Amino acid sequence: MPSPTETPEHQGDRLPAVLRLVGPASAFYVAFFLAPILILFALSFWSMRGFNLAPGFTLLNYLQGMTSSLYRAVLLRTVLVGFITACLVVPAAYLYSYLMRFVFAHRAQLLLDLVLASMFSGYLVRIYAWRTILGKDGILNSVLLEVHFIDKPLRFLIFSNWAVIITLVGLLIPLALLPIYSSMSNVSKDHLEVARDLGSSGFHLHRTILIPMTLPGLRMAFAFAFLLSVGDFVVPALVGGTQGLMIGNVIADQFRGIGSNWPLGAALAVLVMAAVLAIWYAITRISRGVLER
Amino acid sequence: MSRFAVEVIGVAKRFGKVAALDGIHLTIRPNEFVSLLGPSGCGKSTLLRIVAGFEFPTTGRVLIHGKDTTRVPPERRPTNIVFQRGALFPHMNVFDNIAYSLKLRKWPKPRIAAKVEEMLSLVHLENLGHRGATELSGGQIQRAALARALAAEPSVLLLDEPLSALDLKLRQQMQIELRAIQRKLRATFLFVTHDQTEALVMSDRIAIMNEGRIIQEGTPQEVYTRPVSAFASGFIGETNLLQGIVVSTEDLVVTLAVGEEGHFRAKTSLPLAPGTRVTLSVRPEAIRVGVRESSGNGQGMLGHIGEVVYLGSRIRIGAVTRNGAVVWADLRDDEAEGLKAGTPVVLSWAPSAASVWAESSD
Repeated sequence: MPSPTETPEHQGDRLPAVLRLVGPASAFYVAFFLAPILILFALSFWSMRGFNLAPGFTLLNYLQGMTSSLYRAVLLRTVLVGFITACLVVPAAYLYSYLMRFVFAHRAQLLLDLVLASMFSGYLVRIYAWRTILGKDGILNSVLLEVHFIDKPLRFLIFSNWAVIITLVGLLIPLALLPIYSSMSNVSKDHLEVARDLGSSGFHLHRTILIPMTLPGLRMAFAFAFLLSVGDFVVPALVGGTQGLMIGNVIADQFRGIGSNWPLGAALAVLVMAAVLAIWYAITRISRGVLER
Repeated sequence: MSRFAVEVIGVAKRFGKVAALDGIHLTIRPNEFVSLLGPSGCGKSTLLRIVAGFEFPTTGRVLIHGKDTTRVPPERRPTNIVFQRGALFPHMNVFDNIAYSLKLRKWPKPRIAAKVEEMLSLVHLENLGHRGATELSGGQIQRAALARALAAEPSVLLLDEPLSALDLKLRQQMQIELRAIQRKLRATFLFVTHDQTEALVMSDRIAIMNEGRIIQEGTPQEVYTRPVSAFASGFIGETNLLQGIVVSTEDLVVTLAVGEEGHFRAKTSLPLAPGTRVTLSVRPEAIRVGVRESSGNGQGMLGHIGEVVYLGSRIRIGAVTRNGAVVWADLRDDEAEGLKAGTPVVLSWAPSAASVWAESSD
């Protein structure tokens, strides 16, 4: 008689074992990720009757979200801020990883610890730190005034898109660093030396060897930076002012306080998600195309 | 055009306070296969990296085909390197790996394809061009890495222990192939290894290194049969070392006294004055073992057999001399017949099979 686990008719018995293994993780995922998303999605088709939610099916929320020039402008700016942030974060984290991996390899742990230490200092603390640097009476303005580089404080430093981007970049570099550094660990010194030996150097070396070999990490870092900055509403609230308002603030406002409109907020959230996914897809396709040469 | 492919002139390299290389002189003629042989940490890889341009020497110069390249970075040198672990680019297939330097030089596509095909067939990887670099066996990786380096048409190919990660059988096969490729292309190879057999099998010339210096240079036969120091003789093959004092020298044959064992003769080109303390080296396979009938006639070293070890192709005899030293001799089956532990024997060798050097020369 063949061994029980090998025969096809016993494969059914193995399934519950597999379920037992992946079950808890799946249940967690369904309960805390899938369910909320589906509820949000369903909610986006409801409407408000006075201050109460009215179940139903209407596309008015989506129509409002897409036709309102305010929402469109804010969404566009949010995506732009996210994109610019990611475009600054990824090269900075790549450079830092490169230094850690190949230039100051013997100090890599220290360099990594420095970055992680900044993450331990907390999200809000770091945002406020940027406020004290960029503010009207902040460090940057004080120094510039002191050396008479300017004669009155630069106002655009704080409460602007620029301030939001700078702050987000500062917050997100450590997070982007981890996947990039992890990918770069697969590149050995031999790879770079062989490439140089075969005639490559400078930008060509990065374009043909280091970037492609680090691509999974770069992609993940870009995703982190882009998605987290598009979804952020704390940074714009604290350093963005009225000019730096982002879609996260608009959505958050629909879920709290007077004038809240959950279905509209849900529809806006779904729109943002769709926009972000579409952009994400386009970026991955383009990045692949560019690197294939 | 210089008549040398590579000239290393008085090169020294220090890492901080540690001297990795000291006073290295080495010349390689075009089409020559030269091996740098030595234990790990002897500086052989550092020397190779200096020729490749990955390291710059602290002092001294490196000329390639007569041109001073001492400070030229690797990407602008006419040398190419094969590493121990291949270091194929994992995001490319074999074809693109081999074509890397050619695309960089902006060769037209058909010319690249032809060159890559030529290289693939040279290293016996026909039809594997589309294979991903991560889908190859250890031997295939090294073949592809070799093809990639050769495709760049280096005027000197540098090989940093490229076979040492392979298993014995494959390594032996690749040694023969590598030698054949070098002959076929009439290329100049500088090969680094710690494996003496590898160096003997492949090289036109071997430079034995120890502690940052080249201690002997010569053809495989020269370094094997005429080692210049205990280190050289011990590193290449196995040997018996005996201490003695020079009694007389005539016609390049030195006669020396080895303790109470008697007088022995060895060929040498060194000027050794009587009274000099010397080391005598004789390879196990050069020692003749005779069964001793009486107390002997003074021709040879007296002793008795301590051990008989069966090695398959040979039988190794460990003979204990009257001083208590052990001399190893490798014999054929028929030569060893009747020899067993305790048999009294007389050991002898031809003067030309023995090497001597003054004891301080190590």
